[in-house]
Amino acid sequence: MANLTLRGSSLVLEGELTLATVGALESHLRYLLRQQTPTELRLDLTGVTRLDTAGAVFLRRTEQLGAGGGATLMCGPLPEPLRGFFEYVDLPPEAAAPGRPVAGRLLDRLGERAHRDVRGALGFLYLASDLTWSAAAGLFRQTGIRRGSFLEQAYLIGAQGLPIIALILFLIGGVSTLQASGQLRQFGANIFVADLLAIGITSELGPLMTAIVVAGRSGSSIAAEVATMKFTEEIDALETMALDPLRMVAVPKMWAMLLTVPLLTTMADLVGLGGGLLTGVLSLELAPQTMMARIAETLRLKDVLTGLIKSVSFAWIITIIAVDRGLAFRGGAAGVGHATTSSVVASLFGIIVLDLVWGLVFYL
Amino acid sequence: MTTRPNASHAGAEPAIEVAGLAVAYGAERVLDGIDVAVAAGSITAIVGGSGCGKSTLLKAVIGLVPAAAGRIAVLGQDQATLTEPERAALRQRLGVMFQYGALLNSLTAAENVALPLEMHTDLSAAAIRDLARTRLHQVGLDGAEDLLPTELSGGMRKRAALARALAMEPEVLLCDEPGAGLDPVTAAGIDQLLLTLNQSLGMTTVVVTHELLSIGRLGGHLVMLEGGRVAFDGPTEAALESGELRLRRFFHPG
Repeated sequence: MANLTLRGSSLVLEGELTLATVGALESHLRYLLRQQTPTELRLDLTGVTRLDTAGAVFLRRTEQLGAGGGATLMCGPLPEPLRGFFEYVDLPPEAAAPGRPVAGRLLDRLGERAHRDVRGALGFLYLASDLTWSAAAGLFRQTGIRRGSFLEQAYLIGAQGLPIIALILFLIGGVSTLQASGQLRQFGANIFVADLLAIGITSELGPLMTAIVVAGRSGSSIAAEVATMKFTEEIDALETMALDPLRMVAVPKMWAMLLTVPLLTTMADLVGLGGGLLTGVLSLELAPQTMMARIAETLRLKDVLTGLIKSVSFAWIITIIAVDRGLAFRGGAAGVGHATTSSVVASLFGIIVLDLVWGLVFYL
Repeated sequence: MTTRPNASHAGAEPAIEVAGLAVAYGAERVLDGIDVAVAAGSITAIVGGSGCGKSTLLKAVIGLVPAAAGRIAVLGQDQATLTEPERAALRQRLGVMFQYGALLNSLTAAENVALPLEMHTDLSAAAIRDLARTRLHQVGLDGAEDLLPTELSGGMRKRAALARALAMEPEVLLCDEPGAGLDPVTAAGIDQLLLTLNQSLGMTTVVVTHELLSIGRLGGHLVMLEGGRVAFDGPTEAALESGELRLRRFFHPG
C-alpha cells in the first residue's frame, strides 16, 4: 500500500507505487493540494518500495497535477534500484489534436451528401445491371461459377425456408378469413370470404409475405456473408486469382433466389388458401365443398401469374440489395451488423416499391 | 540469479503449473500428457512446429478451452476449482496477447488499451489516457492512438494488442507469436520491452513463438512441443547447443 503525507513543505510518498495504488494517490494528492495554500512543494520519493509502469506515469504527471492545483511540485530522487525503470518509461508528449476539418458550410455539406448519395445510387444501378447480366450470361457459359454452390444455396434459401413461410402463410390465411368475415357477415355475404381469400392470397399476400421472410432470412445472410468476405479480404483474394467475385459468389445466389422464391410463393399460396379454408369451415360454419368450389371459381390464372411475376422481381431486388449492402461494408464487426440491417430495411422498401409498380401495371 | 528489488513475487512457487494435461477437440487429442512448470519471474518460450498444440496449451492455461484430463494451476489457483468471480479476479492478473491481436474493432487503439483500465481500476480519465499513450509508445505506436484497428497494419495491430495485454500490469503475460509479421527492428524492440518488464517488474512471461532470433534474445527457459507432448524442457542455452536431433532440426533447418 502507499501513503502520501504532508510534512512541512514536503509531500512524503511511501510504499508501493503501482496500478493498484495510483488511483487513490492521485485523488489524495488533489485533495491535499486543495487544502494547502499553493506553494512550492517537494515530493519525497525515498520511501517508495515498488514502481510499475502506471506508477512511473503517475510520477511523470505530478508536475501537471501540481500546476492544476496551483502549486509547483518537484519530484525528489527515487531509490537507486527503481531509477533505471523510471528512466525507461517515458510519457510521450501529447500529440497536437489533429486539425479537425472546420465544420463546413451548410451548402458544402449538402453538396457532399448529394455527391455521395448519387454515387451510391449509380453504383447500385451498375451492380444491378452487372449482376443481372452475369446471372443471365452464366446460364450459357459457366466458367468461374463453382458447381454445387447453386444447389447448396437453393437448399438453404428454399428448402430450409419453407417451414417458417408455410406456417406464416397458414396463419395469415386464417386471419384474413376471420377479419373479412367480420365485415361480410353484416351483409349476409359470408361466402364471399372465399373470393377475397383466393384473390388476396395469390396476387398479394402470398408473394409479399414470402418475400418479406426471404429478405429477413436469406437477404440478411447474403449481406453478412459478402461483408465478412470483404472484411477478411476473401473478395480481394478471389480477384487476385483472376476470379470474378460477382460470378463466384453472387451469381449462384441470384439463381437460387430466382428459382426458389417463386416456388416458395406457390407453396405459400396453397398453404394460405388451406389455412383460410380450414378457418372458414371450422369457425364460420361454411360447407367445405361450397367454399372450395367458390375458390376454384374465383381463382384466375391472371392473379396467380401476377403473384409469381411479383415474386421473381422480389427475389431479384432482395439479392441485388443484399450484395450491394455487403460490398458497401466498412469497418469491423459492427460494420457487418450494419450491412445486414441496412440490407433488410432497404430490401423491404424495394419490395414495397416493386409491389406498387406491379399493382399499377396489372390493375390500373 | 540477479536480485530484483522491484519484483512483486520472488517466491519459489511456480506461476504456472501444468500436470498431465490433455486437451481434445472431438476425438483428436491435441495435447496429451503435458507437464510444464513456469517459474515465477521467468521468461519461457514455447516452441514447436505448426499445429503441435502451442496455442491450445496457452488457451488451456487461460481457461478458454477445457482440459480433458490433468491439472492446471495459475498463480497457485487450480483452474478446475475456480468459481466465476475467482476466475475473473485471476484473469485480471493475466495479460494475454492473441495471435491475430483480437482488438475490439469498434474502438480506437488507445481505447482498446484503456478499456481494462476503465473497467477495473479507479484511475482518473486523464491518468488512463496518459497510461494508454505510454503503453502505445512502449510498443512503438506513437501517433496511432486515434486510429481504428482496421486502419492499422497487421504488425501495428499486434503491437496494440501487446499494449492492451500490458495495460493492467499483469503478473503473468502470455503472448501468442508476438514477433510474427514484424520487421526485425520492431521485433527486437518488442523483445527488449518484454525483457525490461521481466527484469524490472518480475513479470512472468510466456511466449509462443517461431522466431529463432527472438528465442535467442529472450533467453530464459524453453519448452518444445511435438505431437502433443513435451519434447524438451530446459534452459534455452542448453537447447540451442544441444546435439539432440529434434532440437537441431528445429534450430538449424535445411
